Amino acid sequence: MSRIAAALFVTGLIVVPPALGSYQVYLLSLTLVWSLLALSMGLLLGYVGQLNFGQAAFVAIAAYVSSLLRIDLGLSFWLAAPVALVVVMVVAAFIGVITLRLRGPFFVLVTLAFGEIVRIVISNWQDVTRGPIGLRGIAPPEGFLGIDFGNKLAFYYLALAVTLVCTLALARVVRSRTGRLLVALREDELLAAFVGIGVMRQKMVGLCISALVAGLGGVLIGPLLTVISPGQFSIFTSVDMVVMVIVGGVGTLAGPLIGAVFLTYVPEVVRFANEYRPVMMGFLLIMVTMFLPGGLMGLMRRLTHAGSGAALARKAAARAG
Amino acid sequence: MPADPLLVVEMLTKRFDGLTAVDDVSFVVGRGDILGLIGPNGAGKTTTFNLVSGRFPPSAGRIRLASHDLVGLRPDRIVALGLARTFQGTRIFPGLSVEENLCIPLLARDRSGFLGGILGLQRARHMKGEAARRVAEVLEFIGLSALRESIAGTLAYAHQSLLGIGLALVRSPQMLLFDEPFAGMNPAETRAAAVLVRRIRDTGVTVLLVEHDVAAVMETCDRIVVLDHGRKIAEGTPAEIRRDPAVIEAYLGTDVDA
Repeated sequence: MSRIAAALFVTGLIVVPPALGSYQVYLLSLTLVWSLLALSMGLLLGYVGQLNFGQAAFVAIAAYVSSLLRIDLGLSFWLAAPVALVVVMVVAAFIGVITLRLRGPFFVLVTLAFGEIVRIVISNWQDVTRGPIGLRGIAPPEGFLGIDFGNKLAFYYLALAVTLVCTLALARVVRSRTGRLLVALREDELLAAFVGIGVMRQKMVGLCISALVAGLGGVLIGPLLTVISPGQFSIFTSVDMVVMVIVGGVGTLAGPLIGAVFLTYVPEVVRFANEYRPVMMGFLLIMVTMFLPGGLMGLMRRLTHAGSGAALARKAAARAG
Repeated sequence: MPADPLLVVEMLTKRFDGLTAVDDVSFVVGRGDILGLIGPNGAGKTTTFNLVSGRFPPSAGRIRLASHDLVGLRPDRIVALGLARTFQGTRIFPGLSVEENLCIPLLARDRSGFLGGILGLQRARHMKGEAARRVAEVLEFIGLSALRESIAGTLAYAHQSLLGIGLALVRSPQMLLFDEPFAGMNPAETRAAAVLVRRIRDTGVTVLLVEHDVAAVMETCDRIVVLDHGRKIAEGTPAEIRRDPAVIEAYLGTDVDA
């Protein structure tokens, strides 16, 4: 059933946008980018069992490296993006070596510091990053096969393709050996080590995959918004990702996706109250953890289970009668 | 000295900020033996256990399994060399089914390489061939075949502790360390657990167990090492230990027959 629902949903994502206005298409593209960021945080929270408040820094590094390579060195998007992704993974591996030994609050604090350091470096390294003003006029990816990514719809399809491939790949990772070992690690790290899992190695793999996904979001952000500045990659961006994952449901892949959709559209609807966004995020987080553990995914699962349970009961009653 | 030593511990010492928890302890476990490590509270038996299993490194001394030096190795390397352990209380992966629990150690062993692991070239949930057979074999051995689909966290305590032993057994270790296997058990459960320990030994696995319950150790073990204040004060067969004046002295004030 969920397979059919997913297929219908994807078909809708492909068929419907041409009928929408350009603002709606832009909003959909933005949602897709947020989906990638939420997925990356979901992988970390749900499968590596770590809360990373420096996740936005991975996005920032990918966005800045790819955009600077294009603006300053004239590289094509298609060359700059992979280079940026490699840089992000290398940085993630380096951060992993330092932080993954740390536990609980210590890991969170160090990643928080990492996130802020990256933001401050970007703000102050004027010669390279243009400082707090940021980069402007980031061009759309170079077209090929007659596709012009300057067209909002074409860019949307690019973002959709990246998100779909990424989701499918992650679904595969989660079911793979790596995914199963990560789940075991999350369940009980000490036991995991003593049944033979190389704890650091698996966590590093998880962190690097997560950084790669965040980086994919990062390389798309520049061309989508045409401007990037350090303020976009503050700790609040990481917090938004965390809220998306928790609202959607931790420990699943659909959860972060649902959370990203929910949290991109709801603020748009209540735009007039934009300055209250952080407050609303906090309020939402408290409400979900108190009344909806498991997030929207958990709620949906409970509803469908309750439905099938009721159906079974009816059937049993009919047989008895 | 056993004829065919498997685990050799020499002059093992562990200091924690001035406190010497384990002080120059040496013993040997022969292949196919069941050796019990006992001692009053604070004697250093749990520390010794954690040193041997690689949970933390010793301050001095040597630990060898067959021809391998274990000192300084990570737990996963030690497991790979064939030394497995259980945990006091019981540790399992509570959110996974019984069968999935037992697959985890085998997945950890089968290195498909970095990329293979990421790309998921190996389907993990349903293991095939030799690994599936091994899981079925262990399920049968610990008597949990009927519960293979159950979520581990929902099992009764006795079943969880059996699964904990299964997790240590599934990679066919040469040697198994039991951390207080009889803790929190009534006499009937203790007898059943002792039978299981002997059955495990009979399949060719060498056993070292650390235990509070002196009477149960006397019945289960071939040889016993007694620690007190971090030092080894006696070693021998259960009959010898029972008569040993140093042991009686160490346990004075506590009930030897408890």
